[in-house]
Amino acid sequence: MTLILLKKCRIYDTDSPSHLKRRDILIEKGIIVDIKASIKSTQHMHIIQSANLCVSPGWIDIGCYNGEPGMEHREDLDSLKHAAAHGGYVGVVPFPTSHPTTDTKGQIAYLLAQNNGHLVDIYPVAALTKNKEGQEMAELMDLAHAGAIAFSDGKGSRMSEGQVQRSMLYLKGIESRMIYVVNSKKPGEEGQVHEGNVSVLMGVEGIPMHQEQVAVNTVLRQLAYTDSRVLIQNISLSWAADKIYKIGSRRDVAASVAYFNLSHNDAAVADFDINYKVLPPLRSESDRKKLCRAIEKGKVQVITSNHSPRSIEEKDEPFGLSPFGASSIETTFSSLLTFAKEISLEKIVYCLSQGPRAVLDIPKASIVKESTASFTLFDPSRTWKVSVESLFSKSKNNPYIGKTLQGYVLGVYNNLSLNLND
Amino acid sequence: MESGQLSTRHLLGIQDLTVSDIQLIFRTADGFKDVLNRPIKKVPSLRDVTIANLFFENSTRTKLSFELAEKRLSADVINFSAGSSSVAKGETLLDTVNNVLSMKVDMIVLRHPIQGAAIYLSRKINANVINAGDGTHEHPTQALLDAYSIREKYGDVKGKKIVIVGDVKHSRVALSNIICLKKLGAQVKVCGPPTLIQKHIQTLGVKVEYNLDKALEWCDIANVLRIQLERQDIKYIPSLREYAIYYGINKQRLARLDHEITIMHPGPINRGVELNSDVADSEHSIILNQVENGVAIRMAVLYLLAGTK
Repeated sequence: MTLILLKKCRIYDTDSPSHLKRRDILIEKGIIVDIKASIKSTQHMHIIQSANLCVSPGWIDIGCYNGEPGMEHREDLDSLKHAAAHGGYVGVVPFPTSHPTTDTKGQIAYLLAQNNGHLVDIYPVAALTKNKEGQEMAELMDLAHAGAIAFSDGKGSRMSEGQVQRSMLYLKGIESRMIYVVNSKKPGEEGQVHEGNVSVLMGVEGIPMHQEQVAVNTVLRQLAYTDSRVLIQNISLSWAADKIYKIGSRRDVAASVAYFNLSHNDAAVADFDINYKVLPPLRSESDRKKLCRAIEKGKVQVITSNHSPRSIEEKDEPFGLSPFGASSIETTFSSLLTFAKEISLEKIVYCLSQGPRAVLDIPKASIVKESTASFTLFDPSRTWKVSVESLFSKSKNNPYIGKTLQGYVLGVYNNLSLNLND
Repeated sequence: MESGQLSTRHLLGIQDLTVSDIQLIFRTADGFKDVLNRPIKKVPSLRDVTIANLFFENSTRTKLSFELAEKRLSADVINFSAGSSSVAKGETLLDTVNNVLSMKVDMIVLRHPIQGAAIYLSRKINANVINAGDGTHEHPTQALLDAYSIREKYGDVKGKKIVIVGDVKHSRVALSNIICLKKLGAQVKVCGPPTLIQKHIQTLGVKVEYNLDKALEWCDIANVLRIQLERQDIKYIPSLREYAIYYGINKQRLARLDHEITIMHPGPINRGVELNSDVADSEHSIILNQVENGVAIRMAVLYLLAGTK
């Protein structure tokens, strides 16, 4: 079907003159050819209508996990793309989490070859150092020319401050962006949950807030020295949001937040629920609320899924042995709508769609006439029950299994392909 | 024997117990303590009940105490220790326990080095689970026997001033004790080097005192913890010598106090470090009473949990 008609669809796109209006949208051969109050349907059209149909530019997830090659038991590219589409994403920006890691142009070419007209685009992040060992710099210019959208050693980076600084400086030559993960697990740090009353009652080592404060301060100092471009990934403190936002007025820096930190506080782990054991740790309720306010005020532009699939053999262990991470890419939207009530739908959608695009210079995909169609369809009022069978990720370490969430992704359209979840 | 039922079918931590639960355990332990002082120290209460003691971490006192309590109740007992088992071959906790349970075991007593291990197990299996210590989380039966020993000596725990001295940060005994004693109305302080006390410990309603002499001056009872060297991958204190000087309790230190205090210790004691022999073996000490009461308390817990099936 080359003609697709979205009926009475509310548009969420701040770049569109039809923002927040209900419109009919006609798509032909991958192009939005008309947006009007009413478009007459014909029998040749694939008509999509739903009581509360909404559309936004297609969502992009920065920093998700990819296990191919090497760790396919957690997630391969096929399952990642299926899970991403189910979660409403048309593009994923996977960290170099595979084994071997993404540190050669051959690896980048392999990832980009998967795009070939597929529904979900892969925008690979290349490693900053060879084999992510934190020693020798990878061939960053070559990787950038091969198609790496950004650079990061991801979580658990072993880079020294000097190495980070030199990499930032080097990246300046190709105007590429470093993604710096502030809440990494470093050798010798034993923290498992946010440091506070919950960590005391659980008898586990806490992760103090100052750990993130020190990391943010350090990277901002390096940014000031190098005058390069940085995305500070998955902050968990409103303090960091304020600081980065303030410096963002004169430096090219942005911040992202993992949605778990907007949806839940550390009470979620108090009964040793391994699926809420995530990094950054779930902070206090006060931190969660402040972080939501920072999103609402536009101080943070990107919400990530922080998708960290783990096989049942790895994850199903007593709390202290269970690794950090949740398989979370399919429940971003629903979790935010169900739990992060302080954030407006408009802002949530912006932080999933245009925010990540702006930070990584990915084309906007606006819902305007004559633009390339790449969008996400959703119903903010519909509820659904999450089940093992409903999830496409190979890993099922998702805390919402068995729970009913509000907010449903109806489908995605990208690269001339339509995928509907019903 | 005391009638009544616990509000929980597992003993995972003091956090899960109500004050009524604790009082019920104490009253039941009173009865069993009488039994233990009789010529025939055995009752048939748990006949036909099979209990597995699964110890994934070294233990002398707790393991013997549980085993004796089980045998005094006429239970069938099997013992397991990680070093000589399939765990050494890489078997998971759940697989190990499920294999044990397939031999028709009714109750599991679990000691494990990881926090939350007993909670994890209780969600996976049908048998009653008793936490005999999980990492630095909880050691509920130790806290119960400590509080019971205080009740035995003073008649009541309420209003007593108790200081917990030593490596509070790495101690499951400290956390369980604090929660138990607070539930029973005691005033609690913790004392030790700042690196061995959690930053947010005050959220439990306790006060922190870094000066041992001031802490001892304040208290009625000092529960002295062992320095948990095996839990310290990172060095939290410069040396045992310095620790002994500033946080070790000896006869001279006690002699300077204007009142007599009671000394407790969960064992094993590092003699000459946190406690000198002239204190550990003195009339101030109720350390061996604690050990004796441990059997009665564990009999009470086993008996009451068996009734929650």
